[in-house]
Amino acid sequence: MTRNNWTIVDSPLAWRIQGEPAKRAIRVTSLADLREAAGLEDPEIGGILADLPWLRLPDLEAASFPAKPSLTLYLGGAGELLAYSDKLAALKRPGVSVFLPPTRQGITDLRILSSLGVRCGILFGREVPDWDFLTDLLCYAAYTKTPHAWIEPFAYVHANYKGPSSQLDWRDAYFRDAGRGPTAPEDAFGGGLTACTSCPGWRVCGGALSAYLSPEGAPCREFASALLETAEYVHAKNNI
Amino acid sequence: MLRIIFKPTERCNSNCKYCDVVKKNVVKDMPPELLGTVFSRVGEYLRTHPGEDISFLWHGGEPLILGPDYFRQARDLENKYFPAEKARVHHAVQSNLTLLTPEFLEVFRELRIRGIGTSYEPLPGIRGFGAARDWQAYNRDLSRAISLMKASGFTYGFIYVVTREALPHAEELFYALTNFYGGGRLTINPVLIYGEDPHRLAVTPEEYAEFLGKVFALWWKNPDRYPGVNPFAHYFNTIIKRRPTLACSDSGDCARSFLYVGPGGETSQCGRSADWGIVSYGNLKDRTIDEVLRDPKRADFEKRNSVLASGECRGCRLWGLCHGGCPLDPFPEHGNIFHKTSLCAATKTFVEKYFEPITGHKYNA
Repeated sequence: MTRNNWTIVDSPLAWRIQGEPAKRAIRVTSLADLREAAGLEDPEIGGILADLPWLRLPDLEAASFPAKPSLTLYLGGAGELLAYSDKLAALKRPGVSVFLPPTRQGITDLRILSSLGVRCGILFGREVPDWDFLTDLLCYAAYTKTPHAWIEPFAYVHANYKGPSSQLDWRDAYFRDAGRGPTAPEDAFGGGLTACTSCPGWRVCGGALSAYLSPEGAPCREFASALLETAEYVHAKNNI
Repeated sequence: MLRIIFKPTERCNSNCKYCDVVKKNVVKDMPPELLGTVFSRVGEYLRTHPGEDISFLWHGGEPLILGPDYFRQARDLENKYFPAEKARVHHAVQSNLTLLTPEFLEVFRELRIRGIGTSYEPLPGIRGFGAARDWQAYNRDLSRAISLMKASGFTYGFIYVVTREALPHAEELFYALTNFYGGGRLTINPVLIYGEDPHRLAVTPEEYAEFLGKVFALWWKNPDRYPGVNPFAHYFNTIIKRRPTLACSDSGDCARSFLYVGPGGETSQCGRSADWGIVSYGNLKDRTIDEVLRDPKRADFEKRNSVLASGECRGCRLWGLCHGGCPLDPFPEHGNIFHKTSLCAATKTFVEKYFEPITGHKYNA
């Protein structure tokens, strides 16, 4: 394995986790690379993004978890709880988070992980979401009173929504190719009346779900609207 | 408060389909010496009315076409003619924003301006540059200006003009307009066509009411999410909170509180009466602001309330919501102001078919 296999990605999420100035992360795509990156000591690197969508939590080794930099795992699923319970302590460490696809199973796994105190998030873009399940998970993240760890992108939206003037794009909370970020929300102006700009939830989505639009419609619209409602609820609750 | 609608230029860099200024095609700016005369008149008025403030709305044409130096002159003229009273002058700007630069924002700050009113039209081909009416380039420039304003801590609000082309898109337009909320108001108005309508943009009062009704249903579900959307907020304040905040067109008290000043120093009742060329109160070169406000022709605007209340509008339970509407509305049809607005049916339909049933509040004067 060589560093040539690594990609540097911007990591605003790692920055938010660590509370340190923005740093970049290494993106690795194999367990061997992850193991090596976990042993790396480089002050310029804020974290590791392990992009391993064919793996589940039981497939990881103890050596996969770095001592210092943050670790974000993009996996295909969590697997059986009993099979990864030995890794729970490592998974719950600050800086470690698990991202899963928004399939029914992935969403069920995310709810379990969150309730166990593991920071987690939805990995958009690879699977078509089950929108109803996703909305249920959103309601769990926003309304449930039992302790649970944050779930992205809900945590980003709920933390940053400041009222009607807000125009958020949760891609700001995800890793992306170095130097490439989402376009500013105002750029949607030039496009006129689109499925995104005319969506009630646009101000908390900013087009992050536009990949799911089709000539038949906008299946993400109700979910984005629900996300706005939860953002308003959290904002109001925090300002009582 | 005296409201001055100040139009220092008739020029505009846009070519909006429904614009009266574009139709007039007058290329005229107010020269600097006349700007000095206007500001000396304002100073005079402030000193003779020590308890009164002035709202000074820079309008056009496109006021930014004059460049930032023009506004710097205004700043210097304030310091020359009313340095001790300038805090009583509340400048505002209505602009298409496409020419906005940081230099403008710098001088606007010096003029105590913190927000700018603008317009946004998401539909293609209605507002735009040049003969081809390039709406995408227009909206890109507007977008750039909005980013600049946000970064500089300025607020903005939109006026949206409902045309025939907007009617099928009421809900989508409402979300598109409110999604770009900038801290100011969103004001929805019907397009006002005086004379020919070559683009077939005019809407009937009933069509306008239906448009408002569709949008109101969305607004009412969550008014806090969509703050300052008018005419809804006006009706909400007047009917439910019982604290009337009606627009100038519905207030019934514009007679002595509005003053239009055009690029040649000419005065009129408001921007609309000037654009249509139907009311003239003389020129500030020759008259003081007080003289213009006391012009005998203004008595007609005062008299209109009693004429309508005992005539066409007699017994109307919604009188307190519109006072017969904008006095200029009946002008195209009747040639005078002593008739109720042609939008009467819009008010009645909206209030009785939508506002009252949806909110469960009935208007009682």
